[in-house]
Amino acid sequence: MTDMNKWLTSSKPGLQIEQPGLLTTLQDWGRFGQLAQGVTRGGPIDERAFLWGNKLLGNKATAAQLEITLGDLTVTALNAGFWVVCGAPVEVTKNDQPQPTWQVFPVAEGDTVTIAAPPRGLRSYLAAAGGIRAKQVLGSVATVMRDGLGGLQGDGRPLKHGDTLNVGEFAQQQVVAHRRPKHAFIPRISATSTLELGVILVAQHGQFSETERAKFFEQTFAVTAKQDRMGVRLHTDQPLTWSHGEIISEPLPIGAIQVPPDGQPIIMLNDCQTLGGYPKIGVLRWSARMALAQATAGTQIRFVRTELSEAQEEVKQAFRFFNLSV
Amino acid sequence: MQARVEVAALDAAMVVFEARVDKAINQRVHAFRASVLAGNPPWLVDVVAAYHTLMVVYDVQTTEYAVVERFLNQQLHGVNNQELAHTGTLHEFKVCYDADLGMDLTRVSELTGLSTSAIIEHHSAPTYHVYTIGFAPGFAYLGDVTESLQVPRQSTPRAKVPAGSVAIANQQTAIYPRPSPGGWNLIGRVAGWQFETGLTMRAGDQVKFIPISRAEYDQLEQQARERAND
Repeated sequence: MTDMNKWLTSSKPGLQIEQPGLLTTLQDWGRFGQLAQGVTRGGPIDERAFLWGNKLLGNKATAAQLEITLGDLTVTALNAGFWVVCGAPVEVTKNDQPQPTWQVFPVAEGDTVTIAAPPRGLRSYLAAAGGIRAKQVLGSVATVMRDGLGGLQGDGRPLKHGDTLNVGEFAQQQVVAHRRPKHAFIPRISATSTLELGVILVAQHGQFSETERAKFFEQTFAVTAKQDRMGVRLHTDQPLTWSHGEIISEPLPIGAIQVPPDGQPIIMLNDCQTLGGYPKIGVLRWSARMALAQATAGTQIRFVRTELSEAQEEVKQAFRFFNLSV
Repeated sequence: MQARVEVAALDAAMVVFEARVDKAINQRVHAFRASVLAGNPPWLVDVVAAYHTLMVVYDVQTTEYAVVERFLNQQLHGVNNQELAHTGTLHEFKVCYDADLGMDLTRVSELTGLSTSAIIEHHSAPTYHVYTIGFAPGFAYLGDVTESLQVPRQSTPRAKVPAGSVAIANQQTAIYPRPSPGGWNLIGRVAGWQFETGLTMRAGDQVKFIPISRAEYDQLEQQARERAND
């Protein structure tokens, strides 16, 4: 407690929420090592955009940010600092002046920053140099509404009008104003082309019949509006059939593709339950999960088989690039 | 010990034992979990046990699947030659089985033909085994409920179950760690329950319910409130 208070005093009020939009939550990298107590990870759904935000600001890779779903956010800066908005391609303004996304910008006390509803994609991340600070619960500030953990007050509540968040101190030399990634690094989000999502074959995959496995890879699925931080429901005209009856609940990894009795797959995201009782036909590779994090309802997707070694190499390279250690 | 090691995710392996909900099998899973933790390999990130499965999360930056698989197979072989005497912690919870706290006592009574006092007796007699923890932080799946007390889940879940509620569904019983929706049958409530209490339970531990009077329940609740306000 004493350590925590000391840590909070090395921060000062950084921003105030004027309008939270549909859903704005505080997220750091999440809770780890507590799955056995039923504590889910939480953390940013679009990890790539989140990691870029911290990298551009010279923050620790895991420093807390705001995750904004479908925009419509207004915040006021309470102190001078440097911010960046990564994620969906969205209109950002500072005091009514357009401000590019994926580019560090300075804020002065009293500045008003808005993030509009994105024309494509779902989620934006607002990061501040020094990182947003709040009291940790079970080792993290990540907001998990379902678990009632994390966030500004530790109870899992999303941010609301009037909430004031602290921002940590930062060294002036860590920040380069207007810093942005090379254009080629910014992930493109298309609402029209079919997303190809790489899948590793796991768990009950081999117990689905050959026909069902073929259907899984050959047909197109649509992302539906039934999605949140726990998972994304897909729709297909030819649902998948599982013919072995109920399975006993098992630990459920993030990115797992579960097939419930109606045959319409559900892809699990960061706030999913730690145990699941539906058969799993695969698990997404990292870049596939990041692409799904920005996929709006109606997005067409197709699954492609990926080898484990390739998927591991990808995540290793990404985490090394972002200087992230578990 | 018969078990196989599989890929579970890009950073996790699954150890799969015989697919049955069975206390003996589950105890093996927990004994195996203990041996993995004791082995403490440097790449270990998390270990989570369910009924007949154990997921081992590892650091892909410092190791690869083949190394994890070899380690787990060696550990499986080691556990095979050991006495599987897993001794978890015993947790004792004082429960008041009053009708206004256990709102489904009447339903359970109708379904089983047991009187309230018989329900209390049947429910508090066994020492329960924590099969696994999931659904929510600190939600422990306890078993086995004696056959004469087994009732199915409610067809329509309650929108809000109070924290500390003691509930039964089929062969399992549990304590709701937080106010939440829930479809299990409520038969009582733990006195002085705190969210943190649930987080002290580990899969493989043991749980005993001790029936108490309403007067004692009220007194313990009062004390818990005073502690919370300190």
